[in-house]
Amino acid sequence: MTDRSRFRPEVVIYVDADGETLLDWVQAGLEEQSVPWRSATGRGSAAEMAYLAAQDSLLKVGIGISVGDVVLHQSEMSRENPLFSGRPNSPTEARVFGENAGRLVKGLPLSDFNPSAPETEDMEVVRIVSRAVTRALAEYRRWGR
Amino acid sequence: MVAGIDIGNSTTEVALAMISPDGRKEFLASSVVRTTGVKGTLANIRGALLALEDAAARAEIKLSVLDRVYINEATPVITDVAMETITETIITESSMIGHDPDTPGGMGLGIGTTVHCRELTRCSPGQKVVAVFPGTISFAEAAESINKAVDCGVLVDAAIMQKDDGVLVANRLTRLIPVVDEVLQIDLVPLNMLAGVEVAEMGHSIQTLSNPYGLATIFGLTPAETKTVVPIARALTGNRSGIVIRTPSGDVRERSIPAGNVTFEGKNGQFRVNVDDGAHAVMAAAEKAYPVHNVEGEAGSNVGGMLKRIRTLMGDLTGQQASSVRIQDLLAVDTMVQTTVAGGLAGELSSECAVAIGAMVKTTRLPMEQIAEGLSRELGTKVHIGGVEAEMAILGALTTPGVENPLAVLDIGGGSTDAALIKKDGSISSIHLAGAGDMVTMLIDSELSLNDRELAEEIKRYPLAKVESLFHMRMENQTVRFFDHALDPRLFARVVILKEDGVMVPLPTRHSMEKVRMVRRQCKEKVFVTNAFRALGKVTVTGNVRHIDFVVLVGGSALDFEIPAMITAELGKHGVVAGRANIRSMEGPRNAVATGLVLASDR
Repeated sequence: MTDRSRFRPEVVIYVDADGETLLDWVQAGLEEQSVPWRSATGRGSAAEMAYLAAQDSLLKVGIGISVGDVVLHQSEMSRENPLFSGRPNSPTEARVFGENAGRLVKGLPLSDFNPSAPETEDMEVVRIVSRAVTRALAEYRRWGR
Repeated sequence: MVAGIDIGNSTTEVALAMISPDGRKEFLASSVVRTTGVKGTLANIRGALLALEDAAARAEIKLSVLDRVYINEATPVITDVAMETITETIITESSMIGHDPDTPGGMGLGIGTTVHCRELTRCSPGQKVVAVFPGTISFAEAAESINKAVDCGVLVDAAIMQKDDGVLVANRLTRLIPVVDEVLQIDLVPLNMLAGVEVAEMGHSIQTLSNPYGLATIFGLTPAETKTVVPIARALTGNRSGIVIRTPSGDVRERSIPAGNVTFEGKNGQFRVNVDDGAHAVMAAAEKAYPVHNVEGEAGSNVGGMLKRIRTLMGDLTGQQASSVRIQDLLAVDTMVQTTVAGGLAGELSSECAVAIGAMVKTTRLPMEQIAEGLSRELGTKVHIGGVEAEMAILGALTTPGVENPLAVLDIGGGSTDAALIKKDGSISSIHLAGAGDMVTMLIDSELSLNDRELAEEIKRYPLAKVESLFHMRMENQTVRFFDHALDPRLFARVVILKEDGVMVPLPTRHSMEKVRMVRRQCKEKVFVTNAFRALGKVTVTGNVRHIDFVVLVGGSALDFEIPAMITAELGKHGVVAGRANIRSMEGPRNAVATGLVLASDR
């Protein structure tokens, strides 16, 4: 059992032996947000490590990095329900995990976990149509009783 | 078996009742549907039938047992709103970056000539520079190149970065300098020009770039030139960081577009007023001309265009020439609108003063006979045109418990605010005014700079909450609500609107919950409280609202969760009892005219 009183309030990151690069990028996200963190080597899946990290963190936020997976967890969430998991393809995507860990701690709105996902024209059409339909249904419900 | 049908601008309502031989009326059911088509056209028939069918189903009767049907004598009212911006921020002779990124790095004021980071190695010792870094350079490389240049004696006083790397770079520098990041359009930053870069401590705002004399000091400005930098100082006030670059004989030349004027033609003559002078001046001119016969707007202005639009719409509806349509009321309200600063490099917005204007045009009786005939044919029952709408509204309103003559009915809808007054002697006067729900939505949209009319409509209609953790949120009245399951991370730390069925919609803005609430309430007050007094003042002979004892509120906006309370409070200060109507003790603010039609049917 980790003796929590020895540590400062900080985000905890557990990373496997090969996660050095991903760790650097995730840390850059936290550093840019000026939120303290510590990292240590761990074993297991990214999800397991993230959950333990969140429990060990006095700020209640943990990150697990393992075989290309990155998981962000918060200690009040249940074990099976991390806040977000992904396989970042770029430094930018990995950094978002660190930034959002920072924002979670600071109480700021989170940024999109998939900033590089291209918005196709179809998505735009889907959005417009679904909004129109939702609105029409709402109006129908409003006037009927 | 009698039915009353009220075809309104937004809704068509029905009241169904059984009238016994001795005149007693037993109301069986009511219904409400969206009005089909523009009020006063044959398209309304479909909505009327739907409403009748709905009411009949609720009363468990067949439509064929209807003996008499009455529809309202509609006075169509067409309204519209427009906005005129009356101030403008234009920056000349300089460029400015004031987008206020979340995480700038370092601290202090840096002054130097802008150089591309590639050129750092070619700078001479003692040269004061501001290094510019496109996104292709990593934060580690950026820090290294600055440190190297400093070692060679180059005075790198500040850095401007494209990526969000401000803190990362600043943490790796040997010397503390201000670093402003997230400058997306880094290629627009003018190079080889004198620049000032400032970053304040966490929690503070910049002091030098937001001071005209600070700018004069940095750039050695003459008094005449200092006058031209005031818009920059204004735009950067309150920012945690900012950049100003002196680009003499700048490429920014903007013509100021005057807001135009409005002319009121009334009983007392013609009165012209400049919209630039503000809402107060516009309304004062309207008062001087009262009663107003017509309003004209200057061609080419937003207001002029809007007035032309409603004239054309009304002309189409009634078959008149647009030019002969008379506009009888205008409501002007001071507001703010976010516009892009001309001369800003990062799409900076500034709050500019604006005047929002709502206008109304109405005409006398529409050919409701056609609608009555069409409906008669569909139903197989004779459809009559019931009495004057204002009278029917009063009759219906009188079924609200606790009221008696003199009574005023204030109908607050989407397009117009209407008032009808019945005096002690039973005589009735009425009026229609511009300015209602749609204008409130427009004001909320512009003051919160949403650019989303639908979202503004939802903010108007629903209360707010701030999601403080993944498991709880604080509502606008400070009560806290907890959840068993974690909330969607997209809602975390956001201000949300609370809709029906537990649906929460996050607002895409940076405004605090208190700010959104304040704007919502102020916009409602600026339109509805103002119009409540205007309308009631105009229907009383004396013009004094104190002479009305009872006011009931009906119409779509009377269903709003806070508008009736605002009006109750304000009118209460004048000794007037005002509140949301309760037609027949059960319908709330709905069904007044439909009920009145039934009540008047045996006259």
